[in-house]
Amino acid sequence: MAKMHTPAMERIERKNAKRKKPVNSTPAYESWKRFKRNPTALIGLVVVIILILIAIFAPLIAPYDYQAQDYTAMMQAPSSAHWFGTDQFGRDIFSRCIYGARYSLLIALFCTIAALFSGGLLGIIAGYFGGRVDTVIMRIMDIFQAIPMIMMAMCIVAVLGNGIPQLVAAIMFASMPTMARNNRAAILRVRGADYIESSEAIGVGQVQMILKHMIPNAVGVMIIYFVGFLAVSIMMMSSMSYIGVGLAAPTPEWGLILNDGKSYMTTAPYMMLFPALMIMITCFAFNLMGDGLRDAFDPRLK
Amino acid sequence: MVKYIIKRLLLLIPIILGVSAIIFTLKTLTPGDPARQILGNDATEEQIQAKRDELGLNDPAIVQYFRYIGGIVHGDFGKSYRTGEPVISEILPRLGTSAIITLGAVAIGAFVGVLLGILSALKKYTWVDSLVLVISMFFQSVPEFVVALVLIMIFAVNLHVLPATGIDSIKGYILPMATIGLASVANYTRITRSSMLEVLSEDYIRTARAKGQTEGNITFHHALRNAMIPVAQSIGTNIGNSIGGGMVIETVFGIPGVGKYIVDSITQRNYPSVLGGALIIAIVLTVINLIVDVSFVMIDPRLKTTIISGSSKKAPKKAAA
Amino acid sequence: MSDKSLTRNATDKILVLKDLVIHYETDEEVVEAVNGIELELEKGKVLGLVGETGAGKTTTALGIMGLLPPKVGHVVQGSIWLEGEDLLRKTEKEMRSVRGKRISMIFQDPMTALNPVKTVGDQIAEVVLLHNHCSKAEAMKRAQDMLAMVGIVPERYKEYPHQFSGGMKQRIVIAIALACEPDLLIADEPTTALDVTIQAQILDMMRKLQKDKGTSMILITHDLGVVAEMCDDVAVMYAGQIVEYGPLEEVFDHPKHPYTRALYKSIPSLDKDVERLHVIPGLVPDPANLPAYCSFYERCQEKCDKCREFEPWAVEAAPGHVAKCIQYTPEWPQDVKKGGEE
Repeated sequence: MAKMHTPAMERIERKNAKRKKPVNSTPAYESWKRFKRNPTALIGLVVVIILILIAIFAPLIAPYDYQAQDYTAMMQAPSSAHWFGTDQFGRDIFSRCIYGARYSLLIALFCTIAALFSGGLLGIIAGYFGGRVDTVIMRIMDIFQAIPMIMMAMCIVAVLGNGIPQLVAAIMFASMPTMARNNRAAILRVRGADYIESSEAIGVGQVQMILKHMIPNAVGVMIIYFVGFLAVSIMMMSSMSYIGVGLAAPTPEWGLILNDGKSYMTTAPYMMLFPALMIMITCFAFNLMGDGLRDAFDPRLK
Repeated sequence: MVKYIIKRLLLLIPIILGVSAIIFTLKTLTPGDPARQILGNDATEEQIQAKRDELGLNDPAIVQYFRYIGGIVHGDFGKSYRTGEPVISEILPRLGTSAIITLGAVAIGAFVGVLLGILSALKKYTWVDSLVLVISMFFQSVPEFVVALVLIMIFAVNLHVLPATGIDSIKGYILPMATIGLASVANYTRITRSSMLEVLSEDYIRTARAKGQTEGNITFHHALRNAMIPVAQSIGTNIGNSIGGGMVIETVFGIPGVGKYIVDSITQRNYPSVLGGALIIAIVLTVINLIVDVSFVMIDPRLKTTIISGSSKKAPKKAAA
Repeated sequence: MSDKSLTRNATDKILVLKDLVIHYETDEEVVEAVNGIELELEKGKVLGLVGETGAGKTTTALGIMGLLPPKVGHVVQGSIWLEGEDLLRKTEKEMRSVRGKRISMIFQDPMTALNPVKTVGDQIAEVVLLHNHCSKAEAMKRAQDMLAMVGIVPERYKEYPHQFSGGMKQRIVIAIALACEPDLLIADEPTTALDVTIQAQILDMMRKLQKDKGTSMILITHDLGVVAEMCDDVAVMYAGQIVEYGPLEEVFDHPKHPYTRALYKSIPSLDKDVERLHVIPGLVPDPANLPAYCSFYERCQEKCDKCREFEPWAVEAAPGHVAKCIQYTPEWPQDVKKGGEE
């Protein structure tokens, strides 16, 4: 019988005619192409970029000093002079939220880097060496995991006291089991791949193997955890400082700003509304971006 | 089966040793004298020394540690610095409250999440699917205490239908449960969706279709039970997260549970209570995980033979795949 | 395309396929899985559907069952007649009462064809309950009878699929398929996934049950030995088309199509001692990109230049024996248009 022509075939032919020849098709480029096609991920990325810009240029954006107290303008509702209103000390909430981006993002970044270099590294070592090393590390991680992450972080802060370095250390320790587990899985996935076995066969050294072959190939998955953990640390940080464990009072961290407004919930809800919105938007953006990255790096996971 | 359970319970020993070691190490590194803390600033040097001897604080840390472990064996988790009461007797009455809230939260989260996950899987790649995923991700992204505040604003401050704090009436449980539950919805949705999609493409689903079975029955009788296996496996982890979330949420809602007790102890630097609370939570979580694992047998008959015969290593993985 | 020789009077026919075309449409490509199949099956007969992997055998079967993957699989044209009723015109609800009751299907892999969390008895009883208005107890009784019929002690009703071996599972699948005494049974490679010794047992059992109940059957296989043992008629499929069709002995003794002849040469023989097995050179053409001429051309050993010019159509090369090859068209090339147009 002769070749059939159905509407579906014509559609695809048109599509193929339109499609240009692929130019430089590296894995990273392919991932970016997939990421670009995902509208929610792009929204996440744009919001994250805006937040980073806000954090960098906070002194230029914020109309007031974040800790300047103005007793002539206490507890004012949002107005053209104070976009997000003022708190009980007359501090401008908009400025505090803007600086909050700086503190929250920076602390989250510290936490995430610290977590990668502690738990992440343990996971990579466990995954790479396997055998007894793996067993010992992962058993210890199992013990850590017996306590919920946020409880662990709070216990550590309880001991170390409030403050940014203490908070970073607490979140780093608390996240160790999760980070180790995730990174170990990422390494195990590339470890089984043929090119690793063939490099082993030609006698590539161990350090070189980890640095040059395995990490670059596991890096996609690690970026996903990195972005995801930024959101997790912002959530943990703000939750902890809201209930008074973690950061000390004058710091313009969003959770703390919320804590300031707690007592005025009924009379001045705007004091809580704006910092809450900042937290929501930030975490949501990071998660949208992280989700898009996961689909982009590994379409099979969807 | 009994052997398996005993083996799992034995895992509690390293967990207790490890967890207390971690917290004990941190404690010895901490500046400040608990004796002074208990007695206050007015106490004389002799009084403090006497208290230190009484608490055994003059012994080396390692001796203190083993003394503590010895106590745990007898059910002694130390005494609260603040009240002088045994930690265990302070925590036990609070355990019930926390358990109700956690279980309620897990039930709400699992119910909503599984329903959304099924919906998402049946309507895959449509706008319904995308909407469900974005909404559930939103609730995952927002810290629980923020959700709690929003719910308090709506239901307590504006509508006056539910209390903002306390559990004087049954109504007081609703908002905390909903808050913690909503945070876990995304997890259940995601797992249910992917495992449902996988199961629906299995051969036995095609067999059911070839029998002339209706799509509704195929979804709920043939697919759902198989798809629930990975969901059930994730419940243990989710209970852990819910207990963690419970700490914050109990504090936000002023509920006298274990979580609030631990948070209060943290702010008061009441270490025996913190350590005891953390240990008890760890034990409870380990037991819950065991119960969850054992109850898989109810869902997946393939595991029955493997667990009873003791070779539990390969079967659960295969069942989840 | 529609050659008179293939379609005779349809009254004694249980199943008639007319010019059936099935495509799988995705965003990336259109796979032409089945291309204009003409097929008919007399009541009580066994038809062997032979061909390589990817020839469209399973797609044909799924098309008959109305179980093509939703949104992707489409019957583009043609009709499927079951005892004079066009199945393609039936609603989904009507099709559900056909599936399992009038047409049953046995799938290839018994290891995955049974629901792991339901007892085997319940899985047999399920199909009985769906189609017969009977009580649960009656359905259970029927399921136990079926287990006994396929050689499994009825006491194992309450056991789960993982407690059975592959061959036993296939017996259960057969029990499910036959529980409602269907008019037509489609068996898709029922023994491929089994050990050779078990294969023979299962085939024996299927043949016995088929003879006893007078069930018509389509047996899909790539094993010509199985066909020789079980079938009355044979249809050879290649690239979504039936290239040769006829009574078993005719096709086996006097293969008309070059592809069928090549197939026979590739069967290992115990009588003759050959150094190497004969293989058919080349690969099956990409079903997403079929040529406009004879799809076997590239691999054919009897080809000529004319084969490249158009698609061959079915010709009755011997009484009741049809082949799709221009070797059997003396009037070529005057009639090119007649067969080539869609």
